Amino acid sequence: MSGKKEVKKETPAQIQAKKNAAEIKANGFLNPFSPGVTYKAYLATLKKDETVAENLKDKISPAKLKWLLNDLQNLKN
Amino acid sequence: MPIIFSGTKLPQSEIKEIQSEIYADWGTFRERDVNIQENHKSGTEVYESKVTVANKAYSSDAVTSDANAKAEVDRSAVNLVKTMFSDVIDYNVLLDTRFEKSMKQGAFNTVSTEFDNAVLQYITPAISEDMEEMTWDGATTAQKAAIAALTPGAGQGSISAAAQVLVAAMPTRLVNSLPATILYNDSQSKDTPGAGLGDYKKVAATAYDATTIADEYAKMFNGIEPKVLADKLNPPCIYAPLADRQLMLTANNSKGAASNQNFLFADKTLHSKCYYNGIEVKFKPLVGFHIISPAKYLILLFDLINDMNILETGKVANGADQYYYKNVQAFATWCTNQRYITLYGG
Repeated sequence: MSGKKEVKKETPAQIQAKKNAAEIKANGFLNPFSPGVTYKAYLATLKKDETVAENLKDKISPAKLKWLLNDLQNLKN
Repeated sequence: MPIIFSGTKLPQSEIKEIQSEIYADWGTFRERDVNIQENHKSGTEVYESKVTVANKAYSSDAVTSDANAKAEVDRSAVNLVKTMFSDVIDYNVLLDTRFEKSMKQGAFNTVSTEFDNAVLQYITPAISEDMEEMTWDGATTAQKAAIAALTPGAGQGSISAAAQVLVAAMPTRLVNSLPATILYNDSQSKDTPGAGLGDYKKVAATAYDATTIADEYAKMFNGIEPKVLADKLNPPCIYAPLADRQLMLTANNSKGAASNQNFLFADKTLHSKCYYNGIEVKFKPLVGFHIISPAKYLILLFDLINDMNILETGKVANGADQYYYKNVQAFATWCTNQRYITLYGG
């Protein structure tokens, strides 16, 4: 029996999840415009009954927020 | 004495010219607006290289391997898709029309030279137009499914939900258009090699009109990698939807003292070359997307580009009084150096 410990390679999704967690820790919220952040990951950070507009108020530009809300609408359709 | 006529009255003259459809020529193949590569049969390999060097403190010791210095070569296989345009023509349906006059005497002879010259000669331009549309808009069923399955997001490194909607609405074709290939491909040169989201740089798209088109072009321009703008040998182009020309001209001619000429047209003609901040804008049948890239990175692979103009015609076998035409293509789209391609709407 070899004494070597098997090192599992992290998947890209696991790496991204770590990045997201670090961002939330540093900024108090997950910016959906950060590279690699999916809508699924971002929407999971919302508190119960919290809207995207409420979550991102004064955190991103109004133009970006408008675009995001539009794109999320596409997601629903 | 009254003239008595019984029967159907017919018009006794006709306008000589037969008005034809417009067969648009957007110049992609003729002017080689992208990188056209020929002499490929069923498939080909595309190689991309990237050299990274590492500067370090001087040493008089023997040179050793440096993990930070790399000479990478990636090979991606691209399959060409063989497609065809074909149909059967039955000249008999032209009996009782003006085309009868150009049919040779003899009941067997139904080929109308006038019909050939006035109508069938447009098969090749129609094929050319279809190929242009295929280049810029459309995706295969498999590609549509693959793009729909991507996890969307707002930032770089993920596809926008709007792009997924655009792809779903694209015409389903046998070959992927350039935007579809940029969005999803199995290049081995990507950060994450293999099938998946392309490495393109994304610029968020917003619906625009003549009053806001300049804002959107500013976003596109700012989204270009500075390194791409600095490459004098391979300057980027903006590949834009056809309707942008109208919006740009309308924007340039807007009323009011504050009107800015954001789009520079090389001359006063309708088909003039157009530039935005020194970048040539090429108008293509794109739908929703804009591609900003050096032409070199957008590749169209062909067996022979002139296949587009080769039309095989002949009489259908076994005594049929019908004729056929057939045109065969082998075609694929591909993109290289994806990290330097900006996709507005991606």
